[in-house]
Amino acid sequence: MVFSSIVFLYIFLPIMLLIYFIVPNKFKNAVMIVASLIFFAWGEIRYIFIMLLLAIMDYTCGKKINQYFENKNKKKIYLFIDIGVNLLILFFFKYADFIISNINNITNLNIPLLNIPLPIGVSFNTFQSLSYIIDVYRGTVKCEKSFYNYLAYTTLFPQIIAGPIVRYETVDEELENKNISIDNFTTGMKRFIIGLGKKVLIANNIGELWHIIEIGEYTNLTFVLSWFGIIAFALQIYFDFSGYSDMAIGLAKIFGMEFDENFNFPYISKSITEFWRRWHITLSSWFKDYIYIPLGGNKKGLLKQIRNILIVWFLTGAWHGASWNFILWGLYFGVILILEKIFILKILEKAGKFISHIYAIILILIGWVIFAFEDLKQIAIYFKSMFNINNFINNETLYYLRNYGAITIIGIICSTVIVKKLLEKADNSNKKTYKFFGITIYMIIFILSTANLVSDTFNPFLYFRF
Amino acid sequence: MNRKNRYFFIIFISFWAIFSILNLIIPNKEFSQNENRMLAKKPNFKIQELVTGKYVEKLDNYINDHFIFRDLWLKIKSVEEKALGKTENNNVYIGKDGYLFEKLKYTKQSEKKINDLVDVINSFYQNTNITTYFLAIPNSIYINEDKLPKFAETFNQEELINEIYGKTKNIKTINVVETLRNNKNEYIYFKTDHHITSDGAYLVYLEYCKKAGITPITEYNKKIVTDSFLGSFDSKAQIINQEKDKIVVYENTNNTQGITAYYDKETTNSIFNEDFLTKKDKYSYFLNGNNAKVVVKTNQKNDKKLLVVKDSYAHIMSQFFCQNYEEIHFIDQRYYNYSIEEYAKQNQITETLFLYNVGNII
Repeated sequence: MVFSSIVFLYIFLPIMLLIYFIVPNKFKNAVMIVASLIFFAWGEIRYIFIMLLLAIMDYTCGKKINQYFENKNKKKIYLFIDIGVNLLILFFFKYADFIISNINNITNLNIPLLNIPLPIGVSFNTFQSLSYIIDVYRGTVKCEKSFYNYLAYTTLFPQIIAGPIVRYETVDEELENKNISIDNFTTGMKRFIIGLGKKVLIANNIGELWHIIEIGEYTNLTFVLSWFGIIAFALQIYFDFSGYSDMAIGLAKIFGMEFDENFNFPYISKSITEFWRRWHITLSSWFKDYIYIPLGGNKKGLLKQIRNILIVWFLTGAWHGASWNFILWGLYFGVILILEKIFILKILEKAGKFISHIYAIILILIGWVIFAFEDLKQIAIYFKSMFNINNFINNETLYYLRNYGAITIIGIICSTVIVKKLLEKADNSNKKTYKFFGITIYMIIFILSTANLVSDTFNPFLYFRF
Repeated sequence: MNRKNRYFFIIFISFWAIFSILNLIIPNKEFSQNENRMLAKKPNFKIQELVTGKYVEKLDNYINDHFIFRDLWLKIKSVEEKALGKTENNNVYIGKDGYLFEKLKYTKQSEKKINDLVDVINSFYQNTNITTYFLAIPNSIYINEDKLPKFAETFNQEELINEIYGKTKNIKTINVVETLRNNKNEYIYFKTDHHITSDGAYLVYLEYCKKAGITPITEYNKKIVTDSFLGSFDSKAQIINQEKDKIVVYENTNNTQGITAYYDKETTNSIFNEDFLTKKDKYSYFLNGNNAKVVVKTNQKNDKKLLVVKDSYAHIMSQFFCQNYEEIHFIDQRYYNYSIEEYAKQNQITETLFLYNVGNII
């Protein structure tokens, strides 16, 4: 199931919340588990048993590691078993066909593809399990004593299909004692509505334009249309993804839990280094804590650091999908980050805010072109249009500008901090008019989102490759 | 409770609870008058479909289709689109002077579809030797191109029609692009629907008569049967305050007296059905909507039997075919699964007309 659907908003969530709030504390996790399983099974029922088996394994290994905490060898065995099985599952579902088709290409063999559909959320799930087991091994978190609580953590439906990656340490206490209050409900609900609006009103509406360009439904990809198109994609993926995170964070708050923030206005960045501190934060920090730092981070000389950065960004790319373009996309940012560390950041400091901002935006947009097309040839064609000023504009491009210009401008404005500040001001104001202005905005977003969902317009799910 | 949250909590919860509860308790409709379509049916539970995700997909559709106040939500969406400056909604262009147009795209499949149709027509003549006409009617979007929203463009249907006609062998092709274009300032296409009007159909009829070498009948009593028709384009686009269409009928004794019409499920004495005028789907006034086969017997006694293999553009033409033929057999190959060649031979058909609109050909 997805949050942005009528069945979730008007059937699943109200019923689930009603039961959740009525039952006594000790049954709240049970309600959460049942709800999560229904939520997950709605569309991905086949993977549910694997998920349950993995939960049993993670839980057991966690306890064993705890039991043998002083016995380095024994606890290492359980760590490796758990990591091994988790990665094996991930590889099997996500990368097996990619590797097979590459072997076929290189060797002229004809190994048949497995053609197994990738279970939704498997990458998020695996990363959460890994963080749990590694943290238990390191002793930075206590192992979960109750399987019931662990299951509630691992199936937790707000984050299960599109993140954020919630580490066990973030919610371990709340699994036991939830902080439920009307204040948390309203704050969470507001956050959820913002996320819903970002996804349904902005991402989906702008996504329509990108969809036209992605499937090549234009007759001529002019210079203007190619830039307009990739800006549309940049806005779509940001509002879609951060909208999902907002909805997850808001829902968690309603249930009495705090998730970590996942996005922090990435498009106001003035360098790529800054961008990656603001984009998909839970993923970047996962790679930092579990790959980059264990590899030595920046503590072992520049060459080792460069190696470590490239490894992390190869993996970051591959995490986004089993295809060369994602790996290329990751390495592209890896190289830029290295160059920024060596000299670009110094230049940018002198160049001033405006130039730095333009620099970052252009590099981000170029990155999205690589991200958007699996086919490397299509990427090349697209770049060609982006730099072919001779084929500047035509009527068709003007038509798209006329139809998608307004929503694009709204998207650009909303990707800055302006709207957020305005809403915060209205929320915190003591003046009645301001307050009702705020409430009206939230209600309008909710009503408009409903209208968009009922009318069944373009509503894609973007994370099926993650 | 924090005071600042109290109002939001009360307002939001009331709204949410009311809609969630009403949605669950108010019984579902089967048919949407407004959109002119059957709403999704509750899917039957099948273990297999549950595993593949098909069941849930159907259930999602069902829930969406039957969400409370559906028509109202569609209107809200349409207001939103307008506010965003969109000149299209749900693949329908919102043109000038109240005209709506469906986007038509010539795709990779179009060529195959065209060749298949031409093969059917060519071999029909080869195998039956019955005089065969082919009439491709251009769509409103092409004839009324100047009414498209700013910067919108469409492909050249005249060229396409000529290209298709060029592929036929021994078929009498009828070109109506010019006559329609010369009269484009008249009310020859509906604004909210994909069909031609009776005025447009009359122009087509005159061209047909020329080609068939028959004398057209020109005496009619023109009657407005409804002025509140909102057609298929409007159903899709859901425009607020859309100007409604009039349906006009060209009546005379030839198409109102002595008629017997054999439809799929009933036989009546008229090619018009007034029941539909009180419903959403008012175009079905002509020839009772979509039937696999309709046979119309008129009071003409000239032994001329016309077979029309067609789409729904032929329905509004039926009032004119009654002027010159003793029997008219309409067959819609989307629903009729038998051989039309056999049918023509068995029913002593004297002439055959293949009539399609371009949007249906591509």
